[in-house]
Amino acid sequence: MTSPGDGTPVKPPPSFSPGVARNVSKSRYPDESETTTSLDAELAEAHTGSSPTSPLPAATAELPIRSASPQSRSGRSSTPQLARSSIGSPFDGRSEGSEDIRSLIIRAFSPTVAVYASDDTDALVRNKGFKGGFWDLIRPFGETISGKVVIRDSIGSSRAWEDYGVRFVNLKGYGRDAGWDSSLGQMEEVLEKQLNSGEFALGGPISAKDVLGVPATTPLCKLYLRQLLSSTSATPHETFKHPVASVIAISSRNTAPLETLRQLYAESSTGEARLPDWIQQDYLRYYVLIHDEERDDITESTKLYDQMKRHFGLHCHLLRLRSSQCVVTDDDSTQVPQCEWLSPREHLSGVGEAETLVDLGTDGTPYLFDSDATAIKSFVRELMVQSVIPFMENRVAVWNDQVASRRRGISGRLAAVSRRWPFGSSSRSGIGSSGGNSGNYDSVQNFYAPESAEATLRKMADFAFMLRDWKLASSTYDMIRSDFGNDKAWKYHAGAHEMCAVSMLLNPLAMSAKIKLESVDQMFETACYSYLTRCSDAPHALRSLTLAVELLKSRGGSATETAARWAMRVMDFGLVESIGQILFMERVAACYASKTPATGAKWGARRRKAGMWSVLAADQWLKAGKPSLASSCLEEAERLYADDLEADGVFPMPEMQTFVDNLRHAVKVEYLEARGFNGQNETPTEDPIGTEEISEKLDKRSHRRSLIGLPAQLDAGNLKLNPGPTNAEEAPNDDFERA
Amino acid sequence: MSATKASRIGEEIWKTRIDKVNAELVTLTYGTIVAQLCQDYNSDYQEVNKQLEKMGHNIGMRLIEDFLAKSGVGRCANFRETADMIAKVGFKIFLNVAPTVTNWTSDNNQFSLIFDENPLADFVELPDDGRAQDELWFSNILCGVLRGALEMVQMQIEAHFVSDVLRGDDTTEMRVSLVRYIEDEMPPEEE
Amino acid sequence: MSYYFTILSPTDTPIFNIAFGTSKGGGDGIARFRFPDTAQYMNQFIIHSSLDILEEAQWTNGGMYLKHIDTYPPAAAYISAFLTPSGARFLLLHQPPQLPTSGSSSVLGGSSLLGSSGSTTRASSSSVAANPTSPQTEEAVRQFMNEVYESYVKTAMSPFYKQGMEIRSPVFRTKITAAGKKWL
Repeated sequence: MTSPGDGTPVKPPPSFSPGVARNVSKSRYPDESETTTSLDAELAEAHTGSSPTSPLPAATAELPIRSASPQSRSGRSSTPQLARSSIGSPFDGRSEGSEDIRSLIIRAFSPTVAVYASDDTDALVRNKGFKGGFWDLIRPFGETISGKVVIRDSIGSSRAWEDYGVRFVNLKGYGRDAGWDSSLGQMEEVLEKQLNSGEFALGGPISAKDVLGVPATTPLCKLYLRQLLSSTSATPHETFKHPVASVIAISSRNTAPLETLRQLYAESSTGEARLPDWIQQDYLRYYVLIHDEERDDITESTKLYDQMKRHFGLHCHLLRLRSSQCVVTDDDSTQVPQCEWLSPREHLSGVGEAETLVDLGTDGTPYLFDSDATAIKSFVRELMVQSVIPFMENRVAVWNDQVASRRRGISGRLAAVSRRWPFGSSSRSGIGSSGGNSGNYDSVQNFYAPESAEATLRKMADFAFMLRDWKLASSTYDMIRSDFGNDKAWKYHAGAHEMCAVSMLLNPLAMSAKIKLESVDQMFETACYSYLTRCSDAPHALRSLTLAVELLKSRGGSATETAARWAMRVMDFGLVESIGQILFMERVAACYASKTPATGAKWGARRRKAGMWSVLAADQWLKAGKPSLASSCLEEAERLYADDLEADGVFPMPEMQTFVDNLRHAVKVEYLEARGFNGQNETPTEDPIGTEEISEKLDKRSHRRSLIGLPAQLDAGNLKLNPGPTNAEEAPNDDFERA
Repeated sequence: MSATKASRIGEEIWKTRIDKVNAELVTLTYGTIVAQLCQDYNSDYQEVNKQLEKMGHNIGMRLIEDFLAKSGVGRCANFRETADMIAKVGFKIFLNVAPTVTNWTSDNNQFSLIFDENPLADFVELPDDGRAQDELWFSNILCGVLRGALEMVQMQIEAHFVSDVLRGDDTTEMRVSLVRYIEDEMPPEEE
Repeated sequence: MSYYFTILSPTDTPIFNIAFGTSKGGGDGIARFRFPDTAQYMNQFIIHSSLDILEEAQWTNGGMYLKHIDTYPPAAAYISAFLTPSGARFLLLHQPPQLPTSGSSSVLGGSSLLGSSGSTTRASSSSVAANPTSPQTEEAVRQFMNEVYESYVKTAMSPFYKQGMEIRSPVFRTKITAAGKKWL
């Protein structure tokens, strides 16, 4: 593991290596397209998509099954997030959709950088319309660093990533967020809110709004996943949310710049902004001078900047911003990118109001001058590429050399083994005795001192993880996971098992053998048990199981079944509330659906299982009063069952058929009712028929199920045959977002 | 000739002079014929019964020669002896069953054959269309066989089933009545 | 333990269904599934979905009796399968009784599908048939399947039975009920 390469200085940004980059770029696309900007394209598509139904009488055209199908067909083919992860392509279980989810998960574990700005800086930025100050301004730009980010792993080979990001947090008030407890409920609230805003749009005729308003299932799942992954606050047992660096910012308005910088530093080290004790304090400090382009003289600022460099070293940046507020009508205005990673609380408190998936409206969305946006982007890039990442690489190398290798060596192993025996130095269970090589766990406050070997190794593993060196990460987690158990540091224990499994699954090279899969399974089991039973930490348990579901699913093959099983466990444990339950039902369906037949064989798929779960999810959506979601689940089920049923789409089992028929009927009725009021008000000409007549039509249609079944199958055919449009859509989206 | 003697003869012939054939083959073959007839006549079971009887008659006219050759029995003294001969020798050597002869009328012209087992009806369950249970005599071919065979030895008889376990009855019973002896007549032509 | 037994034709059409409960250990032979009466379709869904596994298992397992092949955890429904050489499939869904302690988790509360099943994984009852995956149960199911197979062959031999047609014979049903009583 430790190679000579580790010792070499990592200061200069590693050179760009195109050979590696090509591999990465593939995984890059899915998340690019995730932003709502692609919805524009979707709109266009939606109109063309629904036009074929226009010859039908209005009443029929608006039946959910029928009408949902053009809608979501267009949705599926145009928005990659729909097509992608709903159900994998029939040919390859590890479809692009799984890459998409993997990328999402990877990006969820981005390094955290704290922001600590002087009052004058925040005042300047507030002037520009960003209420939260400097942190608020740069936060959205951290989510995706423009351009490729090259990272070297522990054996010295480089890899370029296009989807690297950084999470900016405000140092003021850091660690003071309440823990998890409320957030599970909040997640549910966010979903509810999202759904209601979606359902609301359903009232209108099929229109742009409608297409947006019907949240197809998978974006919802994704929203849920994103929520889940961003709702963790900093805890001692894992360091992803511990700041790797801190940006200390002043503006050119400051009258005593150097003193202020020093003072800010002091506050962040020893003063009021000091981090909690369980966080290692020697993180990187990065100094930024914000130059007001409109009021201050650049030569002065440059002079000051030079001074800063002399005093504080290389980790400095001069950021030139205009101080006036930009509005949409300004010539060179550009929309501020949306924050993808908002915690449920932020969602609910409306921080992300303008950034929710649904709201495309311009109101509330902040704008920036082009030049400002460019300046911030390059600032973030420089911060990460030249300072933070090299810093992390360096730390990993040093710790690997000094701590991990010692632990890995013979003596370390012996010590670890001897600790397992009941005699000798290992009886430190309760009292935190000083004997032995571990007494580092403070069982009263439940954390390891940040300098202890255990905490350092965990931090090293987390760093490696965030640097996407999953091999090193997993081997490090693996090394320490039993130590935590010996110390009865259960949350650490759970966390190390969780992340060990996760990093093994993320490592693209490892794990082809089945035996590994079993050990991964076992680790999730242990993690879940420690989180849930020993620590009563339902949110983390939910997180690890959700990661298990998504990552196992993305591995394809028999792992998808394990994934489905974990999803059922989540439901069984009662970790999720009503909407979450349904989402997990959909996930089970998706897991089964992504299992593909053995090559050349007709068997090995799990379409019937997937179909069943889709139907059950539809039933639950209907019970939850969401007929449109129920409808799309039903449609999905039809698609899944298509291959296994007779051409007429009739189930061989009569009770199943009755149930599905009734469900279809109920969905239609509810859907029409949901549409009823607005639909009649807004399109009276299109809908001259009385309600009773409509319901009669309904009755007739429910018997002619073959008519309903058919479009769905055609639809499926389209999906299978034309992945083309999906890809074609992406490129423009890409550009749009980058611009 | 007593009934016991007839039994002995039947047993003896069955053991020594009969080529055996797989019972399932016979059963399935016969079952298929009946099922096919039911289909051909659109479940007109009266007609099916008639056809089966007719087929049996054809068989019986041929089978009698074989029977006489194999058994070597002579002329029966009376109809009672004939009945025993049919039950204990005839059925024994061709179907390996020996129905009970019973329910004689006082004039000794009518008797019943009670079948404890019926290889033709193994596995069979009548169609549950609500009519077959009341109308179809599944093994009706046997009636025809008896009629055809006895006709060749100058006995005109009439035979029909009166109950069948396939229909849910307790027993399977065939009623056989002697109509007349066909004396000094030439055998009628084949039908 | 409650049972739902289905025979599927080679083309997946159900040709025979029967639900019954255990008669062992004082059972009254009446099926009590965890789904409410309105959700009995679940049995068919679960059985239908297990065909995915069955199709796979029939290529990897040479025997006719495939033992326990599939589980539907939310309802603790276990599926055992038996394949006739001609392609008919016998599928037995067995579901241990719901333990009284299981009022725990499900947030959906009254929901039929997600009645808590955590209890079942912990079901430790050692009596035959109470534990769906124990060797005793596998053996009991095997006996049951063999007996059904015997009856099935006879039924299939009936000249009036067309292959792939629903088995409506009351005799057959009686025999299956008896077999269930005897073994399960």
